[in-house]
Amino acid sequence: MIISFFLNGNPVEIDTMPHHRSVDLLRESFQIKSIQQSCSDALCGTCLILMDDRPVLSCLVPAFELKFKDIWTMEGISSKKSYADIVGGYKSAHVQLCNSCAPARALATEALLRQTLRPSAELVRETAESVNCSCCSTRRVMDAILRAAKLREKRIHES
Amino acid sequence: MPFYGRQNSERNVSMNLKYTSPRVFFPKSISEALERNRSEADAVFWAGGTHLSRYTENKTVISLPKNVISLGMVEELARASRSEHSLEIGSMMTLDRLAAIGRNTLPAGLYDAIIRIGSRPMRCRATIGGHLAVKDKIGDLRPLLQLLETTVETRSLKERHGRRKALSLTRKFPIALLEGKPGLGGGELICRISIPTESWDYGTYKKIIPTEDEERFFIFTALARVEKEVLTDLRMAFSDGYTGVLRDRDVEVGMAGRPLRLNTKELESLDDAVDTITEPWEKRDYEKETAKRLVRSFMNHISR
Repeated sequence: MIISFFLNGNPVEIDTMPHHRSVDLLRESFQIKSIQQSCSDALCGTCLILMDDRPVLSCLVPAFELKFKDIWTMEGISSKKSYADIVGGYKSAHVQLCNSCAPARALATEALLRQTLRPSAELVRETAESVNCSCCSTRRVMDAILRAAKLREKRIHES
Repeated sequence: MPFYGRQNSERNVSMNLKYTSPRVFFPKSISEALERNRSEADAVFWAGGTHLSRYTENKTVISLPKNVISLGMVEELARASRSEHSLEIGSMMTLDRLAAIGRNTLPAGLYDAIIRIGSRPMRCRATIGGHLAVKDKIGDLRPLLQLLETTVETRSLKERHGRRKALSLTRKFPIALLEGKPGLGGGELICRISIPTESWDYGTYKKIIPTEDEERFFIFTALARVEKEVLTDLRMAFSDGYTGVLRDRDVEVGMAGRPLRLNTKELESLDDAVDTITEPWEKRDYEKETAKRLVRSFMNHISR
């Protein structure tokens, strides 16, 4: 099955099996190595990608669901200027993420910031809990997300 | 010029022969989806796919039926509207979007119930229609939706003898009828869900997971109206996800009109009633006792 979609802003096309898990497809065919294939059971959250600006777990998405979708991964968002807000937020909250969860947490934060710059405490908590990793506490990640939101808001106002 | 990824149709997948490649169809309207279902008899409607995807052990591919009808491009299934008395939602609305649009309009307890389902990325995929259509498990929202007297609208095609074109059938029924027989018929597609938005003074939704096994759980949900310290309407239901939505209308009707706070005798008879309602949970003393405590706690809460 030929599937066309946008990956990190670029139009792409691939001939693949429709039931191929997107996490494997993106890693192997498009060299998107920032997403991890750990549990394949929606438990860890490290395979998180943005699909039409919504955070989704790519281990649960079959390839055919990518059709005509706008997919963003860490490789894409980290090349944008606005990524500095996320890095700044986590840095100022003194949160040091492990290699395993960092890309997914950055994407989850980006998804939230694309939705709103003044998120409710509940949304911030949900974003922090999107990824299941014990490298740092949920409270500290929540603080980092709020700081990132402030930086993003400030940057938008200044530009 | 689009970038072409490395083709890997046959790579890992060829090693998993039991996972044969499915055919996927992308209808753009409900009638097109139903027509496709009619022509491909063994086809399965695909909403968010979270249930099917989670229960495949293979890490490379997801075990899918031979023919899949993806509903992702049927716009009319993703719409929502609000009337005076109800919230009308298309079956392809994701739980995340439902929580977002219904935060201030959903009846008491329902918003809490939605945001307790999985993580946010899961809810961004899971749809309300898929949640209700899963056959081997009762969705977490079902007990509360049942208490709210939610109705479901389905569409299907009926063959007419000697005619080429099938007859389109629309069925609207209370959500409770999804359980048991006849339930959701083959080829029947959930199109709309109508949630009454009448106000309730109190609403609760509790999901208890006693062990680390997330598959062993139970839900207690209740709604109440109180007027001048008199309980005017009470509805409560229990579910363990498998043995049905447990509820007793006679008990609920019997409680209406009682002054709050309930006396010891009334509370004890309510305990007995909960015992009877949860009878299908044989040999699960912890669940039964906790159910009684949750009911008492709810009655206590509405008596304040």
